[in-house]
Amino acid sequence: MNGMNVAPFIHMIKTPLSTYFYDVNTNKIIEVSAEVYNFLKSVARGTETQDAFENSEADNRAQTVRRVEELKKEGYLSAKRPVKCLHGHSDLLEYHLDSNIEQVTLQLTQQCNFRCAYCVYTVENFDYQRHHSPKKMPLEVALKTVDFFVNHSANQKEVCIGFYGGEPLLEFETIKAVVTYAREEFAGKKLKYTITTNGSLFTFENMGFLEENKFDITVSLDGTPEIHNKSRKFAANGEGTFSAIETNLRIMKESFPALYKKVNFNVVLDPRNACFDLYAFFNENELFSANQIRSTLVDDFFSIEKVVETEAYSIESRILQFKALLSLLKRYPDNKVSNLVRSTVASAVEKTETEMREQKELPDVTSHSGPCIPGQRRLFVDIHGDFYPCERVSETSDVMKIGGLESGFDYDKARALLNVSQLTEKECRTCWAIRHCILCARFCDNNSELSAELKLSNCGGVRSSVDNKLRDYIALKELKDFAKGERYERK
Amino acid sequence: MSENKHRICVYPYSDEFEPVLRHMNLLEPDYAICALISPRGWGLEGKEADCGVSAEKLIVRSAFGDILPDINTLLIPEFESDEQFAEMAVNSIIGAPPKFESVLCFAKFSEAQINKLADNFSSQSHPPAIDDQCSFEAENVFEYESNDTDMHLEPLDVPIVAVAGTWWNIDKFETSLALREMFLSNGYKVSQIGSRNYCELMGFHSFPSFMFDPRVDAAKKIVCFNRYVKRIIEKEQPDVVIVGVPGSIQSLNDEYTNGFGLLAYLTFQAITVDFLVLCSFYDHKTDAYLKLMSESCKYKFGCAADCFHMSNLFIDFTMTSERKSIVTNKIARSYVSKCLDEIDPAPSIPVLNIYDKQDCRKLFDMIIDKLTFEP
Repeated sequence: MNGMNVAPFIHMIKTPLSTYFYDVNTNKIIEVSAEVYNFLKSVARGTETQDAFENSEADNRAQTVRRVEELKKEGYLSAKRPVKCLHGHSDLLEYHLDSNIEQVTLQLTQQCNFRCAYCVYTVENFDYQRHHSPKKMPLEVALKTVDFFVNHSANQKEVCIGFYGGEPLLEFETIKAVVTYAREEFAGKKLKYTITTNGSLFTFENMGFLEENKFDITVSLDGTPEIHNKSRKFAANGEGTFSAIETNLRIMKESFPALYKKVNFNVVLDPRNACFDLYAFFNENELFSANQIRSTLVDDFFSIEKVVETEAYSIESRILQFKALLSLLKRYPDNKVSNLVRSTVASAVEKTETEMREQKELPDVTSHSGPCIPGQRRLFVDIHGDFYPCERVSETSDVMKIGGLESGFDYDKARALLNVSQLTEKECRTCWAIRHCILCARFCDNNSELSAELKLSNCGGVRSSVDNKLRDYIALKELKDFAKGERYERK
Repeated sequence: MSENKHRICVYPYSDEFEPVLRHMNLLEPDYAICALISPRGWGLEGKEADCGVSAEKLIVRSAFGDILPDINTLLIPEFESDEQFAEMAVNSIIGAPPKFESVLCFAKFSEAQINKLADNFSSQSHPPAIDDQCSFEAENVFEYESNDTDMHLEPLDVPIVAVAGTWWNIDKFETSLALREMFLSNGYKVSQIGSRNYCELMGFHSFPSFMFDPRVDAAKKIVCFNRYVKRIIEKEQPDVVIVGVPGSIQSLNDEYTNGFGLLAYLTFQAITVDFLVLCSFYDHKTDAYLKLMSESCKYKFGCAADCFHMSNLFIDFTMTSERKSIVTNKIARSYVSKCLDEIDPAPSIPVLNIYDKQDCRKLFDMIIDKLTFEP
C-alpha cells in the first residue's frame, strides 16, 4: 500500500545535484531524497509503487513511507484539484472595467515609415492581423478616449496613456493635443505617458515636448548595423534604418539628456543569428551601455513561417544568461554581464520569486494563470475607437473586440476572454502547471473564435517552459547553497 | 439645514471622506456637508456619493461654479497626493468664485501655500480664518506632560475598544463611526479618539499630533497618550472609549515596512484595550491566518484581535512588483459579503463586513457581551 488513494497533485524535478517535487497546491518546491523521489514519481504516474522499491532495503522503504507521511502532515502532497474553471474576478469584471483601468494605449495611426521583415503588420497574404495602412486616429476619437479613461479609472491613483502605432511620431500633433487635454482632465491624478517608436522621427521639437512631459520611451533597435538593417528597413526605399536612428539618439543624448535617460531599448532577437557580437555591441557602445535594454524573441505567433533557433544562438544565449545568474549571486563581475540579458534575467528571477510565494490549497473554483482582466491592465483603442485587451492581439478578430467608445464595454466578450480556462477545463483542472500557465485569449484566437484545439497545441510548450523556470529557480537556490558551502556539507 | 452655521463644501473630495457622509447624523450641529467637489481626474464627477441612511443626496461636482451660493465654508480634508497636486488644489481654490466665510483646512499644505490661500481671501471684506483643526486639547496635554519626568502610566478605568488595521484607508474610520453610532443610539456615553485629523467636526477627538512628531521621544509619546486619554475620561465621564489607531499595525514584509507598526505599538502601550477590532485586506482568509494575526496582536499589543472587519481593499501584487511600490485596489463592496459567506469552515474568530447593518449589530453585541461578562 502506498498510503495514497488519489495521486498527489505534484510535478517531479531532478537536477544534477538533487531531487525535488513541486507541490501544486502549496506552490512550493520540496527537496527530497532519491528514494522518496522515486516513490512519489511512481505514485504520481499511477504505476506500482513496488517498482520504486525494487532495489531498496526494507529499512529504506519504511523510512521513505515515513517521510511521505510526514510531508502529508506538513500540508504537502494534497491530491486536491479544482472542480471547476472560472476566473476569480469574473463576477467583478464590470466593476474593474468601470473603475480600475490602469493604462490606455492609443493606436494613433496604422501607418509606419518602416517595413520590418518580422513585423506582424508587414506580412503579406496573411489575414490574422491587420496590415499597414494610411489610416489614422481622428483627434475627436483620441480626446473621447481620454474622457472614457477618466471616467473608468476612479480607483487608480496613477494612470498611464500609451502612444502606439504604426509609428506614433507620424502623428505628433495628435500626441500634443492629447497630452494637453489629458493634463487638464486628469488633474489631481498621477499621469504618465509612454511611447513606442522606431526612433527615426525624432526632431528637436518633439524631443523637447517628450522631455517636458516626462515620457518613457521605448525605441526598437536590434543591434549592430548589419543585424538591424537586415530586418528593419525604410518603407520608402528599402534601405537600412540604423544610421538614421543612431544619429537621432546621439542628438538626443547631447541635447536632451534627461529624456535620453528615459529611453529603453527593445531588441528583437532573431534566434537564427548567433549572438555574441550583438551582446558585445550593447555593452561597448557608449550610446546604449547605460540604458535599460529589453530583449524579446521574434514574435512568430502571427506568421506562417515559424522561427527555429540555431545551435549557435542556443549555446551563446544560455552562456550569457548563466553569467547573468552568477552575477546575481556575486560570483561573476557585474560589468562583464551582457546588458542585453542583465535586466531580462534579473526581472525574470524577481518575477519567479513573486510567483513562487507559498499558497493556500487550490480552491474548488479557479482559473489557470495567464489571462489578465481584459481591458483593465492595458486597454488598447484602435483608430476607430474600438477596444481590444492589449496591443498584441489580432485586430482582425471579432472575438478580441471587447467594445468601443460609443457602445462601451462588451462585458460578455471580455468575460469570455477572461475565462479561456473554461475552453479546456478538463485538461486545465489536472495540469500541474495551472498556477504558472501563460496562456491568455491571444493563444486561443483562431481569428474567428476562441479555439480549444489551438489553445491545447500550446500546452506542451508552456509546461516545458514552466518546468525550465522551476529548474532555474532551483538552480539559483542550489548555487546560493554552494556559495555558502551548505550544498557540499549536505552531500 | 439653513440654520447650520457652516454650510460646507468639501474640496478635494475623495471616497476617503465617505465615512463622514455615511454618518452625517454624527456631525456637530454647527456643520452640514452640502457640496462635494473632486478634481476631474479622480473620476468621481457626476457620481452620487454614498450618504448612508441620510436623506441627503450629494452629487460630486468638479467645479466650484457648480455649487450653490449659500455655501459659506470650505473644508479641505487631508488628501494623499504630491506637491504638484497640492499646488493645483491651492490654485483651484484661489480661482473659485464663492466667497467662503471660513476655511477648515486639514490638508498638509506648505507654509507658502497657506499664505497664498490667506492672501487670496484677504481681499474679502470679512476674510475667513484658515483653521488648522488639530486638537488643542492634545497640544495642551503634550506641553504639560513634556516637562514631567514622571513616566508612570495612569490607570484607565473605563472599557476601551480599539480599532486598528493592517493598512491605511482600510475602513478603520468607518468602523469607528459605525461603533460610535451604535453605542450612542443604545444610550451609552462615548468618548472617542479617531484616526483622522478632523474628528472634532463629529464631536470627538482627533488623534493627537504629538504622536506623529518625530522630535518627541517614543517613551514620552506613550506617557502623553496615556495622560491624554485619562484627561478625556475625567472630563467626559464616558461609559466606553473608542480609539481608532492610524496607520498599519505591522510591516507587510521586509520590503514594505509600513513604519513597522510603531505608532500602533506606542498607542497600545499607553492604554489597556478591552476589545480589538482589526480591519484587514480583502482576502480569502483561513482560520489559521486569523488566529495568527490575533495572536500576533496579543503578544505585540497585549490584546488579541476579538473580531476582524474585511475591507474591499486588496494589494495588486502584479502592479506592486511592476512599480516597486505598494499598489492597492478595490473590489465591489458587495463582493466582501459574498467572500465572507464562503469562508469554510466558519472561522473561530468572527470576520464581519461593517457595511452590512446586521454585521454591525453583531459587532456591537459582541463588544457588549465581552465588556459585561462577569466570570
